[in-house]
Amino acid sequence: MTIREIGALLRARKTSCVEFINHTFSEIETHDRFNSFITLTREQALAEAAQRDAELHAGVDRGPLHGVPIALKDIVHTAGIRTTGASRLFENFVPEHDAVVVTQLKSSGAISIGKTNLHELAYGATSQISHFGPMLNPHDSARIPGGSSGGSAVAVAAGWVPMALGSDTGGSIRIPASYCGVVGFKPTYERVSRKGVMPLAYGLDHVGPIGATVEDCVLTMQVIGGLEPADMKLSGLRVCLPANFFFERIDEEVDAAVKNSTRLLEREGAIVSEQRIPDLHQANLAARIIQASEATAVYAQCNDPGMFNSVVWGLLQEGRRVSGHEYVNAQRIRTLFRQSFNDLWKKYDVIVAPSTPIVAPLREETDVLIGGEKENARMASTRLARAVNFLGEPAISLPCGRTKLGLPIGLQLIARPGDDARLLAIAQEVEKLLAFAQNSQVVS
Amino acid sequence: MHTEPRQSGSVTSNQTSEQPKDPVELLREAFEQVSKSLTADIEPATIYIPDDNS
Repeated sequence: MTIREIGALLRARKTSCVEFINHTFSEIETHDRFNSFITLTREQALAEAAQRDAELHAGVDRGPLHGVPIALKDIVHTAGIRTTGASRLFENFVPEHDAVVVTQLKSSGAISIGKTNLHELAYGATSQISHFGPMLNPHDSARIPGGSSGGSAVAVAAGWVPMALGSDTGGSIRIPASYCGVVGFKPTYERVSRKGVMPLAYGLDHVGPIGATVEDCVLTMQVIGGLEPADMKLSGLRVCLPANFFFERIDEEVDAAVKNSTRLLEREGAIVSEQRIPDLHQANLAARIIQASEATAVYAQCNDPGMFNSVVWGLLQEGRRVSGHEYVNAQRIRTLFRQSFNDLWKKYDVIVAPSTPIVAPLREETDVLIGGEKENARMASTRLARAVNFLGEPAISLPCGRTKLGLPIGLQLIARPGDDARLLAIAQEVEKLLAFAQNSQVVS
Repeated sequence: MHTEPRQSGSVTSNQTSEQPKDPVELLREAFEQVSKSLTADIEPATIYIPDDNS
């Protein structure tokens, strides 16, 4: 169910906040074989639900999220509730204060039901490394949900909450959204407060929603991102279909679904132009330099490898080998890309691309074959997402079809910095178009 | 002759026939090539530091 649907039930008195929250916990406790939560907060959630019910009875309505269950990635600080980062290091860490986003969501009337599992310290894209065990994809439990916000995407895909907060440093919202068939929105850099959210890489970290629908992301962004609603029409929309980078070395079915979506946009009057874009392979390299350095800086005082998974520890050690001049040069490369993309945005409203070059890999796949070429599954998962963190542009992943095996395919839309509201409005139109096309069997 | 259909993203896991190259060195080498495009007038991008509640 969506935020609107739950809100309608509550306001029509067809259920109460307490009843709905109780139902949500029953569903999770009965059906969560995907390991999507680290901590469930039943007692606190029910107490808040009782307050929200009393408010509704008294005629106090805090808005669309009033009484709606949500979940929080377990790197988001919650006062009095442990916040683990899915790591041994923070296994018993209980913050004294809520993160700014938690305060905002509580004020909106949303009720957090718990803290979702993730790839340890948000440093990975598979969600197979967690001190609390790996997460599974609800579409096929033999496959990964993607990460690092794996538990958040699973909780939404399973239908337990209409929205769960995630974070995205190199694709960690959009990748699990793509693999789990839900919507993931990475706002413009610094649009949403990171205060009280465990950092991975200061200059690349973004906090954002994973929702059942685009509207669930819009309603959340109105609370945590100060978003004003916008209207956009597809007719006349200037769409950039990249002639390089985004469609190189991608799965055939992903390619077909994304290009089919683009054709649907064109039929609605969008002006689609195939255009070469700056070489984001270079941006990816610079982003990896920055991420390696900054993540190592965050954990530089931690010298006990026993507190980390060996893979995560290895990544943190790799960052020590990146030199100061390389870090500075990566930030200088960023300046060049910023200038190039500022020019690109004079001609276009949105870039259309795949979110990931593949669909969810099998859990045991360390490497995948794409177009006959072998590629590390983690690197493939992040390849089309990471550069957007480097740029800081807002980007969204939404489902645009399924493979013959029934696995979701993610469509990525990217807009200019600050155009979050317009991008979400475009995504809502695209979502409607795809739903209509799928119902009409235009998209397989 | 029976031919297995090729699955997209098919498994090739745990192949150990080649000694993997050091990933950090590969990254640094590739980045060094990218850095050659930099001229002295290009300054680092600055990171906006927000107020506490922004």
